[in-house]
Amino acid sequence: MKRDILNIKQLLDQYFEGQTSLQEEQILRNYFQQEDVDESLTEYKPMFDFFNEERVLNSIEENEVEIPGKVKFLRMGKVWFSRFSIGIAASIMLFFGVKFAFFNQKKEVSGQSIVYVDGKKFTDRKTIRSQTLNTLEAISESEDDVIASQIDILDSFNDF
Amino acid sequence: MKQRILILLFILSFFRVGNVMAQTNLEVDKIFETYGKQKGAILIELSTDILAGHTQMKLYKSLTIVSNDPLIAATTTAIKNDIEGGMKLIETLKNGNTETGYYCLKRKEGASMYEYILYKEKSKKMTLIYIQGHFSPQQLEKELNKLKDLFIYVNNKRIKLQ
Repeated sequence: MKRDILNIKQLLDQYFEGQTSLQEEQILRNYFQQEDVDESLTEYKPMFDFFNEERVLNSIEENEVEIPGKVKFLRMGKVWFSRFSIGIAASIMLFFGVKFAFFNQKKEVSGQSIVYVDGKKFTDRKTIRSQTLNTLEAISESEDDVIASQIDILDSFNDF
Repeated sequence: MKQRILILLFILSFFRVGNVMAQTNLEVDKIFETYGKQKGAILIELSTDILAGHTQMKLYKSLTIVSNDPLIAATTTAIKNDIEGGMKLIETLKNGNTETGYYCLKRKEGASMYEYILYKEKSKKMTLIYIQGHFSPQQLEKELNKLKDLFIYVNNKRIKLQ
């Protein structure tokens, strides 16, 4: 046991010097993965736990390590979502923004006069003329005296 | 991250563009849309092809329809909401209900366009008119007369109304 610990310490020194082989690094990882780590070496355990996690995650992305299918799917799904979610959200907002803008434009002056009578559309001048005149007469019939007197009040308005 | 926020803000600006073009989201628009193409209704929309060069109006929209209580209630409520902050030019009441009303809507700051709503409900017939134009309330009657003259004289002859 003491010999093993000495061995590990030696490997650790070489590891920090950058002089360990892949096999020796695997020995260190295996040692620090176990529960029973010598007290004098416990400070290094979190470091090898961290490196071990990073190694597994990188392997997942490079497909080097076999992991349970569901975990791999979720990991790839998370990467995909974080990369493309902003683009998807931007596309949706652009769609609704353009639709909203054009929807309002539709209510703007279209340039062509139209009449609907009982839901049927007419664009000929004769129909437009007669219907408009009827409407104008309707809005003003029998009220000429009232309107004339009221219009005089408009002269006193200065707000506009 | 900053780049993404900028992109999102740019896209959001499209929503604002839609609003500054004209004050079109009025409640009376819903009255025109809901009732304009029904049986017994006459919906007229005059645009620049007829109005330009003859009046200062840019848009004239009217609805004439047989009236009923729900329609009157919906229309008067819509008018009341739309004219908030605006001006009543003419209003006559009968039995506590509006019989005739000419209203000027509140203008946005810096806007040169005026908007008017004209309303009449008499003898079971309702007439609702919406007008956009570059003229002040003092000129409303004059512009309405111009419009009437535009149609009433054809080839310098006064036509009979049908």
